[in-house]
This record gives sequence, structure tokens and C-alpha cells, in this order.
Amino acid sequence: MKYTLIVYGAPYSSQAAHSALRFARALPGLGHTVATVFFYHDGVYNASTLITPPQDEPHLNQAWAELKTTQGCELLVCVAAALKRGVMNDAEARRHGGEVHNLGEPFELTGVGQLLASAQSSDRTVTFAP
Amino acid sequence: MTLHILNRSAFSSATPDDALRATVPGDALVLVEDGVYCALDARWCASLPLDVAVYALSEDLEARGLGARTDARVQTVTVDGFVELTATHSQSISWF
Repeated sequence: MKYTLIVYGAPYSSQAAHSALRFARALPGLGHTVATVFFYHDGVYNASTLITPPQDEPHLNQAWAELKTTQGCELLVCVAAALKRGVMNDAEARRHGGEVHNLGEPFELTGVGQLLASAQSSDRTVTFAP
Repeated sequence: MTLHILNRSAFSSATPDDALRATVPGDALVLVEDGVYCALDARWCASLPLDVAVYALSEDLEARGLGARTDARVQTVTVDGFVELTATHSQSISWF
């Protein structure tokens, strides 16, 4: 089955991101795949390339990138939730007169409409909240 | 059939009671993260509907040192079992 996962939890503040990753990593062994991970609300902080945890702690930003490499899933970030929290890509930073950005490949800024499209084309949608 | 996914402890939140009130016969409920504390709450476990299967995620129980302390009504599942529950139920609701 194809899965869409929705992540509401900020990295290191709650177990949500860890639970979602644990769930996603278990899918292939059971014949399933994760098609889309959608980061919403405080979950958008998972997409910040500036995340720098101590070396003996899980690097959540890299873990999501590895998930895309191994399972080919999309990593979609709600643009409205991200911009107001200071998470943005180069194009959005320029558009708003900023000089720095902290989001790039493999994460993509998208709208909530993309979440609905993903949920509709997936067999299952599971939410991981803080 | 709906899978209810619950990550709040009944000792500190009313959400587990809300989740139970929303179940219908044939639904299942899985306790994850701090939701596994519900499996130790005699009051909450006594209010479980008989026609709703209740599971607790073994990895989250172990992480909290609660492996052998669950109520008799609560079965344990691994992450693989959790995945299969989402596959065998047509939809899920996350309670938080």
C-alpha cells in the first residue's frame, strides 16, 4: 500500500518526528511504501537545513533526506506554515527581501492542496502529532 | 473500521476518554508514545468497550520501563504490527 504521513511535531520537542520515521522505515519490510511525507504546523522545522544536533543524537533533517533516498518519497512542506516560522527556500527569501534561506532539496515548499492530492492518491494517511 | 491512534496519557489528559467515546464496535485503538501509560490506568481500562480491540506499542512501553505492567485488556504490538493495523483498517484518526 502507498502511505502519506503527516508530521505536526517539531524536531526534538516531541516524539512525533521519531515515531513517523520509525513507522516509515518499517513500511518496505511489510510490502508498503511511503509516497509522501507532509510537514505541517511546527513540523515544518524538520525541514530546516540549519538543524545541528549533537553527534550522538539522531539528525532528523538528514534522516528525512535518507528516507527520500531509500524510498523515493516526496518531502513536502506547507509553505504558509513554514514562512511564518522562518523556514523558507531561496526563492521565497528573495521574494520577501531576505538574504538567507534554510530550506532546499530534498524538501519542497507546497500548499495544503498538495496534501489533499497526496492523501487522495495514497491508500492510507497517518498523522503523527506532538 | 477506524484505527484510533492515541498518544496522550489518561493520567494527565482527557483525550483518552474522548477517544473512547468516539469508537464504534469493530474499531481498534493503538496506544503509542505517552499513550502507553493508559495501559496502566485501571479506571481508563475499565471503561474500554468490549467490542474495541486495544493495543499498545511494545517499543514505547519498553522505552518507558512498562513492558510487563499492562492491563489484561491491552495487547502489545511491535511497530510492524502497528503498520499492519493501519493497513487492515480503512482509515485512522490520531488523537493528541
